[in-house]
Amino acid sequence: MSGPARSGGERNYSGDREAGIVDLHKQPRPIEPVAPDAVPVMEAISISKAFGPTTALVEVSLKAYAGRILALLGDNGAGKSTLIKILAGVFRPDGGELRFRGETIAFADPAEARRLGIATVFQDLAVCELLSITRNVVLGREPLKGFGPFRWFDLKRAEAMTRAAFEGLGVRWERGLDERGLNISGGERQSLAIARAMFFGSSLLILDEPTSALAVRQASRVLDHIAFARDQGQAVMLITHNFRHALSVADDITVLAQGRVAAHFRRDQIELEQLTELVARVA
Amino acid sequence: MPEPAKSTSAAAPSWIVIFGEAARRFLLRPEATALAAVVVLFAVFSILSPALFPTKLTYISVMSVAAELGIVSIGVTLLMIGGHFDLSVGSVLGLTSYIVVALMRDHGVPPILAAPAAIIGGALLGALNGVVVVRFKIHSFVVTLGSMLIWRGVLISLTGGFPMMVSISPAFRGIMAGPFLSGFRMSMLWFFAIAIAGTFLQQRTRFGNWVQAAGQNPQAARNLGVPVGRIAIALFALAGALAAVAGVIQVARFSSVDALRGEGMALQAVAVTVIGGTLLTGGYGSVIGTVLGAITFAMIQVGLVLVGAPGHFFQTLTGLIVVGAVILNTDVAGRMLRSRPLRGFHRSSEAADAAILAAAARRESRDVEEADPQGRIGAADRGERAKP
Amino acid sequence: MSRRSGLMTLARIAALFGAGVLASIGSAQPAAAQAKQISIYFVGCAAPTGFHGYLARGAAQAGRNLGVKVTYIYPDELTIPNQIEKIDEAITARANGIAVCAFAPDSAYAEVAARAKAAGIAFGSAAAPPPGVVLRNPDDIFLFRVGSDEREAGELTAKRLIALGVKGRVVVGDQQPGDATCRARAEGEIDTLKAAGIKTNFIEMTMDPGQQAEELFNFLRAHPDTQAATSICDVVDGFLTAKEESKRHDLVLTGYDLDVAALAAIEDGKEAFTIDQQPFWRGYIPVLLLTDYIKYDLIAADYFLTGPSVVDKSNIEKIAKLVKEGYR
Repeated sequence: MSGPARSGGERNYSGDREAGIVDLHKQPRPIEPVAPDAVPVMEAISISKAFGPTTALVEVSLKAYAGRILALLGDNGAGKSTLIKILAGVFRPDGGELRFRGETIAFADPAEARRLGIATVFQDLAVCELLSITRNVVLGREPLKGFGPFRWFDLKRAEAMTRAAFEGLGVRWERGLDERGLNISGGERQSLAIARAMFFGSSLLILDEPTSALAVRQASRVLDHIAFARDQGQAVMLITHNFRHALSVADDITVLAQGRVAAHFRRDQIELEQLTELVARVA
Repeated sequence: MPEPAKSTSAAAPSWIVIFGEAARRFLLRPEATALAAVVVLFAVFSILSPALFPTKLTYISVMSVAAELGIVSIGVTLLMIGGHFDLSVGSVLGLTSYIVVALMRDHGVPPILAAPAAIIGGALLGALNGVVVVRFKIHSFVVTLGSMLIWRGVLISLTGGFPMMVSISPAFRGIMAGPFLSGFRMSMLWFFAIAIAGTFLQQRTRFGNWVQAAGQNPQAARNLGVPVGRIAIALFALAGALAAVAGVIQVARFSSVDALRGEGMALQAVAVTVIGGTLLTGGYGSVIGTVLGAITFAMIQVGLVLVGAPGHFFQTLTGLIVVGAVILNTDVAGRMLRSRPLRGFHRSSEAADAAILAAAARRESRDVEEADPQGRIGAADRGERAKP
Repeated sequence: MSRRSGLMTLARIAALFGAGVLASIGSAQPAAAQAKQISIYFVGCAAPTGFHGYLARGAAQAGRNLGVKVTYIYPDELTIPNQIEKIDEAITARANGIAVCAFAPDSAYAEVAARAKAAGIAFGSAAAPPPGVVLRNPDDIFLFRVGSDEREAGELTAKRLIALGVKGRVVVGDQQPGDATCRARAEGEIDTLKAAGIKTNFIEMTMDPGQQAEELFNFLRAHPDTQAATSICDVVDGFLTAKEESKRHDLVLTGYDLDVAALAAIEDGKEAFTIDQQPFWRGYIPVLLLTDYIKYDLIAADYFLTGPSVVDKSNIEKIAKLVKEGYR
């Protein structure tokens, strides 16, 4: 069932992992430091946001680079969802600034963020259950055929695009593409959303709790796909409260607590026990 | 990127599996249970009244009722797929009928202008519903309940509570509702034309995809850039316009409008829509199903009269049959949606497999050649976007 | 005389004068009240358009003829509590007399009738008495009952059909199956016809003229021996279309109420007759009875039936003119 096998312990790209997710976080891979002249795809500089009397974020700074996964850890209420919404253009920050590929930017609306390629994938909003997989993948960017005012949906091209999108993530699809979203598992939905985002050209993939509702095996698959995306040069921000998952794929880790950045490490600078202890201390 | 390789799998599925799978896919469609309802009712009524029911006059009669109700129902169906209700379509039908009559009778406007004017009026009335629903975020059920009462009140006061007559030229009557093909009415033709357009809109356009997405998961659709609000307004306008078309047909047929024209039609339209397989919760449905649902409803009405059912139970029997059809539809449709393809039947996955394997093999050989084992930096700048 | 006692005298005179002024003002009030116009409140069932427009117009005309002030009020939605609320409003407004378009059983109005009586307000019903009851019951909470008998209307239809020589089947179509008025009409007609040995069918219909047309069309196919059809509770458009499309030019059509379509159809001979409940009187007579009670303490010994009456080819021309003017 698996594709071309590689030496044990390394990933293969067909989606079936030999090494379990449980093991990987115990084998820290060497992570290289960010090149000194690298420009982050997205940089948040001292972002603050308050809603009335409640402060959500206080001077949060972070950087997301192409080809690296930044895991954002923190408990509920730490400010993660506010941060995502600011990055996705839903909220404007009260203080601080955002820089996209080095240039200061202020999003007028989420559409502008989308246009720049910032793709946000929320846990439960990936898929319309009664639409086929193809229709889901091209939703919002359907290929059209015809001319002038007489344009209609090019289903053949949509199907081809869908296959290409999945291939781009190394996902093998075991059923027909006209299966409905209802019939695919949670993990497959996440993979669909990621494949969709990448296919249509995302510069930054923000994934909000992609594995939280998934069983171990499915979570493992999704993380594999996320790593694949990173290997394709994607900048990825992975928000999660599952340390194991974070440690298994992340290159850099930022810990948020009570609206502030509590800590920031490269992945190979920390172990699971240390991380757990740290988060328990600051949360 | 090479085209996906043709499937080269060894064992083709047996014909039983193919047939079974085809049957499964057919039953998967929302129209399937509506068609079943039509067939079953046809059989039942034909048995109960063999001399009268399976005759051309019956079919003409059924299609006449189905057309007028069906045109309104198609608008309601598309709106329901998009996740909204419209209880005001009956009142809009009445009010736009009044517009036609008033323009023709009091202002001497010829029907060729009065009819489109009324249809535009219906679209505006519908769009108004949509704007209120979207702008103030009130549930469409509530908004259209209100507009139903408002427009009905306006119609009652404009007509003074009394019917208004207008002289209709035979040409106008002929085009809208006159007999054309061996006795069948033109309204049937309009009905089919609208049904075809509606099906195309739903299945083969980008708009149709957006409507379904908006009905199923509006938040997800919005995140992907689908203009959910604008779609809702467009659907409401369409429902209003189609109600006006039915109104024009009725004016042409009866040369009149009265204060209660269209009363009760909104609920009939919902019943027809649901018989046709559209979900009340939205996101899923079929215009063809609604056509079959309208035919079902009309068959019930006509059939009960022809078989001599006790006249005190028409409403009751109609209701029972409608509920039965809906239960059947929901139950069967639900089962089908959750079903899996028959074992031994894979389709496009084979081709996808081959493509993935081929691409993975290429990547592997490329990786081996490249000096830079990481190859990550600059990957984005290489414009890594898969082309179809 | 000392200054102090002089001032006291002045004060007493002023007080007496003031009292006298106040007394004359006070005594002038009742006289002004008696010269005040009689105020009648007509609590209707619906907005004064269409059928209820007649009631309102009749009441207004009576007001003009008799020199009394008539106010027509109605609940937005016809429910018992809503209408009672309106009656209470009239009581609060110190009406001299209240006429109610009663649609519910007497028990619903008993309490508010007692309140009106306690306030010295005349209280009457603009709805028909129970069928068959002619003489007024002295204990009746209503001073009078003015209305048309729906069952009577159905019976009259049947009698007219028999007089026209209808012997074959008759079909009665009720477009508002839930409505009690419509049911009463239908039952009156069906029972009378059946008693005369004529085959009768009842079918429920909808308010859509297209659906009515097809239902009647198919009924005629199923029962070719049908000689007459009655439209109970909607305009007769659908029935006319069915008659034409089934080419049954001999079919006797009857209906209710006077509207443009019915008038034209009777004139053309397509409709045999229609029943008019003379609703103008339902507005006029209550105001008259209330006024005469308030002024002269007159109470009618029997209940007043405003209808039914038959409008057919023989009187259609006169009636058509009156329809245009809004009296019929």
